[in-house]
Amino acid sequence: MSAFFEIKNLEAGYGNSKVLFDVSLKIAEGEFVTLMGRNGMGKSTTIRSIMGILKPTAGEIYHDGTRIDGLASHKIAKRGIGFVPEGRHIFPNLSVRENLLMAQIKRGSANEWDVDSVFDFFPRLAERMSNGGDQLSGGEQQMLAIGRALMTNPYLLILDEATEGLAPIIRDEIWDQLGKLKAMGVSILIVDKELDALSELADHHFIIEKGEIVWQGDNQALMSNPAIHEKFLGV
Amino acid sequence: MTTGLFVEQSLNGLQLGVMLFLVTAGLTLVFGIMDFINLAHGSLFMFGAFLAATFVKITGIFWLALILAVLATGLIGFVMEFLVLRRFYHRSHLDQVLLTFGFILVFNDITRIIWGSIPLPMPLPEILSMPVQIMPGVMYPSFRIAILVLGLIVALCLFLIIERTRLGMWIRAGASDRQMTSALGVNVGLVFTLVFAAGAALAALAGIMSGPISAVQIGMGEPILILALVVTVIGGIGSVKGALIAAIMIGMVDTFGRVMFPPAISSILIYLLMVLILAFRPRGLFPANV
Ligand SMILES: Nc1ncnc2c1ncn2[C@@H]1O[C@H](COP(=O)(O)OP(=O)(O)OP(=O)(O)O)[C@@H](O)[C@H]1O
Ligand SMILES: [Mg+2]
Repeated sequence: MSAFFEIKNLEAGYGNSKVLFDVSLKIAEGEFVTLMGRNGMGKSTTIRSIMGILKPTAGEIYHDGTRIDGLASHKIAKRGIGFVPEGRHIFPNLSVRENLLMAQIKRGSANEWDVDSVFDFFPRLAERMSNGGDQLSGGEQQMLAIGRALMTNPYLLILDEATEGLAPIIRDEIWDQLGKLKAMGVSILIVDKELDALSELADHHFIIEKGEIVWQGDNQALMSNPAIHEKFLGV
Repeated sequence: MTTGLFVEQSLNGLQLGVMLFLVTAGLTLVFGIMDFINLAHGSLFMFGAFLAATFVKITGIFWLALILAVLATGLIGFVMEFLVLRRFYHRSHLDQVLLTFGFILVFNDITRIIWGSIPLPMPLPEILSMPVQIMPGVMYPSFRIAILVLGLIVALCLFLIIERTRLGMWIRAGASDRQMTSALGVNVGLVFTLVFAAGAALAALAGIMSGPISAVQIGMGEPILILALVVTVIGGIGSVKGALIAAIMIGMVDTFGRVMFPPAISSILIYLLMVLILAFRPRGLFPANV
């Protein structure tokens, strides 16, 4: 049986500088999986490769048994992979409502995300509905970036540094909502540095060092092994 | 300045503005979304005028000729983008400028081969060749009124598409952050081909509109291209709203400048305006990228 999502021996880089040397990871349906590692180790590069923004130079990526590496970015999103990028990338020239609407992909099942349900999910956004994307606080932008990815009704949601630089109260709000998404059955791949919050939600962890997956294990294994934290995460 | 002259010049200015907007809409979006500089945009303006003049001769029906010429130029734009330009999106601006400058030369020569070097007349339908009285003692060519109205309608439709539809959101999102837009499932390449073809069609419409006023001749697109680049920069690259406001501003300033100042000053007025605006808003009035 093929995995819900799988990366096999991925290699990628920018121009002549190779960044990913050997990245393999697997996500089962409904799982909450983290990708951790110190700054500059290749987390965002891995995610950009998944999204088709960067073309891998070797290796394979599978979603639902279909090979997706080499597909155009928009086709990968259409397949049901939702993307919350590092740095949020809100469209400043679109209103909050338009930032959501432009991303809507209907998949013809019940209980799909739409503008109203995203506003229920992040009530702060509802208050800012007709504001421009450039008039939001960092926390609001982050919520909008998550809401926008939800509008594509993803089966797998990928988040890159979704709590970075935010006030603790906003972070907690985001962690709570990610918990709800997990409960709804959305598979999640997340890059983040907040180990405490991650350990509450994660099923499985992957650690990347200089473009290679150097450790993986379930949450129990990571939490009971402080040596790993120090060696690879610098905490 | 008498009230009559003022009204007449205001209409002229508005009309120039609307025409400039139609030319610039495509240019600014192409620049904004694909970061592509298309100097040959003025050639599409010229093709529109030549094709319309020819179709009028063949069909004898002005409005039919107008529609045919607009569609045909849209098709030329589509083919040009599909076959050649899309291979240059990832190249440097210098490569793009050289390529599209080459297109200008080729297009001008093709025009010369097909139509010859003598300017063509653009025959007008009868109802549009009579002047009408717009206020006591002030006559105004009805053709100019018609193109003003048509231009305003097209500008309004375009504005509504950009500001109110899903396609418009994709276009604006693409102009701001192309990579993010496609990572959310939007086929930006397809949207762009559409934008390019539509931009070509609008440039053609503008060319047809200016045909009876200036003449239908080789090289008529180049001065317009310069003005359209000024409008693009003032309005903010990638912004249709900015292009509309900047085009009307340029149309008014240029028209009144010619009436009120000696040529030495009036000819540089719009560039002074550009310098002034860029001094305070270096990225133009409504930049799409941040
Ligand atoms: N656009 C780029 N061009 C060239 N090199 C890049 C580019 N983006 C990232 N790199 C390099 O690739 C390496 C991996 O970067 P990446 O962004 O994947 O790291 P990361 O693990 O996400 O780090 P962080 O925790 O800081 O976000 C780094 O050495 C970085 O300098
Ligand atoms: Mg990163």
